Amino acid sequence: MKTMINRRDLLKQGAGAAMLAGTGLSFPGILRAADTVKVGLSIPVTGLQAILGETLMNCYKLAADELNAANGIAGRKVELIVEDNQTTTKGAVDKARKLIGQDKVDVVMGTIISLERSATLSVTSRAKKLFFYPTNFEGGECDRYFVATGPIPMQQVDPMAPWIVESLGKTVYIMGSDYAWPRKMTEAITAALEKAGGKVVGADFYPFGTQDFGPAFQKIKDSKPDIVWSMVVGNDAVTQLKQYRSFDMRQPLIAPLDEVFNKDALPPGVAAGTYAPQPYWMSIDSPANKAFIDGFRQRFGQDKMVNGIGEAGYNGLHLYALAAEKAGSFEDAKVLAALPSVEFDAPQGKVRIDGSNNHCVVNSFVGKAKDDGVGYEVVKSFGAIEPVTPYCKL
Amino acid sequence: MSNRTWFVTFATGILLLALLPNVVDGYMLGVMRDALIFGLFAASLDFFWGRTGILCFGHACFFGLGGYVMAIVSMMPDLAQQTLFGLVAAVAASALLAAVIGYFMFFGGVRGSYFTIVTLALAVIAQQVAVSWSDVTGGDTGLLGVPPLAFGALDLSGDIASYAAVAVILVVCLLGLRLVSVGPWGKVLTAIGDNEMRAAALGYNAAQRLTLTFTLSAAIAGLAGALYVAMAGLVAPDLIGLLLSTEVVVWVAIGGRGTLIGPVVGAVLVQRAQQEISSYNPSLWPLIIGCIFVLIVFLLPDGILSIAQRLRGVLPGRTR
Repeated sequence: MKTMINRRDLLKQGAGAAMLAGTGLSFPGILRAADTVKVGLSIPVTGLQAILGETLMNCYKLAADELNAANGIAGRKVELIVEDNQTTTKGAVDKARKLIGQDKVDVVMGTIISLERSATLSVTSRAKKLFFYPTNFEGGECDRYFVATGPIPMQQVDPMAPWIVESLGKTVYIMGSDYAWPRKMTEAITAALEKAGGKVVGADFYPFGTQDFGPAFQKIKDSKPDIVWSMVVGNDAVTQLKQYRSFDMRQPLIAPLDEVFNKDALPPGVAAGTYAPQPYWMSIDSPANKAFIDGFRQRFGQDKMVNGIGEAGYNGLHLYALAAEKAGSFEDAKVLAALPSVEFDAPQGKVRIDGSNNHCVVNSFVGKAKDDGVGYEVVKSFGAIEPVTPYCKL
Repeated sequence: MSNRTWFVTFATGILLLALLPNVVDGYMLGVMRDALIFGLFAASLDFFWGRTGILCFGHACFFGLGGYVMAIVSMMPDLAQQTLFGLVAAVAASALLAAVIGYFMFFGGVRGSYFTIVTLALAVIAQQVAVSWSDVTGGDTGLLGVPPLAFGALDLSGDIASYAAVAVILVVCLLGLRLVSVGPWGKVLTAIGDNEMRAAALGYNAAQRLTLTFTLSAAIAGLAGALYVAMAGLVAPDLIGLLLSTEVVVWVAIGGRGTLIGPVVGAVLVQRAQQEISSYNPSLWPLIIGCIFVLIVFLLPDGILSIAQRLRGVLPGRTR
């Protein structure tokens, strides 16, 4: 029932945004370009990532509202143009082209999983258009016009490994969905743990749609690691976590969950006690975070959750606004030049873009899920972590 | 569809394609170009499904394989004529895969819904392979930076040039497929589709014919995939998967099965509608599109192209 209401709210907002875009069309092009700054959003509103997509879209709306309530960006009103990329390559290519070719947006933001990102990037890099990507990802991208505001594996793993060895144990067993991010994370974890005096004792990757994790848990019981680090994602994470409980696994579990996923996708309480590395948690105690959460809930519902992806999207729009104001221009190259010199007081703490690779200097926290299995308490804060990318030197 | 009606429709289509660059901007031309590539893909499915009545539910396997091969070959460093080799390799790879699969299935007596189910599984497997075999396929990120079409000094990357290239390829392929399907080969296929045992009793090697037809259909799907990848500049795992396989079936059904032109019209209309309606309302559009599909299936069970025939039937003074 609750999801019905949420969905209806979402529809209303969607219709509102569509009408807004519709009225905008009646102005002559030049006047419109002078009055507003157009931010094109490529969001998975439908398809696999719809749950996370809704939160991300709302975070952009919040950031745009905040900017518009003040002075917009350098006096121009922020206009969001929301497009549904359907969580597909074709959808993301089409929508990126439409945003750039038809709507003539000043910047493209959004997308969650890798194929949305690479499809969007293939369009934005050919068009030399700025593209802000909010999600934590496997790294490996290096494009002048690509800005990542979420963490790459080393930013999450490097600071966390010594803490794991110190407070949880030395041996780690890794379970991951079979795709790039868990594999790159595993490389980072193996290297970081070795440095810290720990060890990865096993790593298994499961195809999407795995129904039975029983044999995997049996294997883990036999090899008796101190910790299980899971990077099983999406629906498979739901299956895996339920079975983790029913198999009575005793090891502490590190799982790539957050408040939004726990609340909307998991049965209550299943996530309780699991650890996760994230650049943002709702429980971070700061005025910026309080304002962020209050603003979000006022607009989208008091029971709503936010997560690191949404927060990174919110930060991205604010960073863009600061850079455009500083540059005094909305030209891609000028905004890009100003971007490393601005800093945003984000809900997670201060963030900025490292000009050598256009990745974000993000904060890093270990969260532990509370007994309700939704919220997290911050058990360890590592402060701001620089993105180190040997493969990318811009 | 009678031969005359088909050629009138075909000529009208060519005329529209030729006029289009004069009336739309570069962006819209690019959109139409991509839609036509998917139209070619839909026509390739229709060539097999429409004639034989056997539905392949994993046709994106061949589209995607063509795409991956195109990406891998045309991104090889130090290769002259990247586009040419890429296209040839893409078509060959898709044809080979279809020949192998077709051989085992058709000579093994797999027909009807069993064939459909096996090909459906094939699409799922293909997508999983594309995601997991990341050294070659780039995993879930796919392969970025596929160069646009170019034959030696002939650069086809511009809006109009790439559109024209796709339109010409589409027209040639449609004409070829049409000639094959109305010729003796197509008649035998229809016979096999109607009653395979009787066709076999008349001396036709049904399994062989089906395998070859399937191979040709897959080769064209592979060509479409290779073209799309060159236009989009990347290939990613969902271009080989189940969702696209389903979409192409819808395009063919909406456009009109067995007409070859219908699926192209269906692909273009459905994609344009999808893009416009999803921009108008990013969250409600699947519902709207779904309702339109249901309406079309009820009102025009033979597809959109049957409107023309119905009109002819209604007009006074004409008999069919």
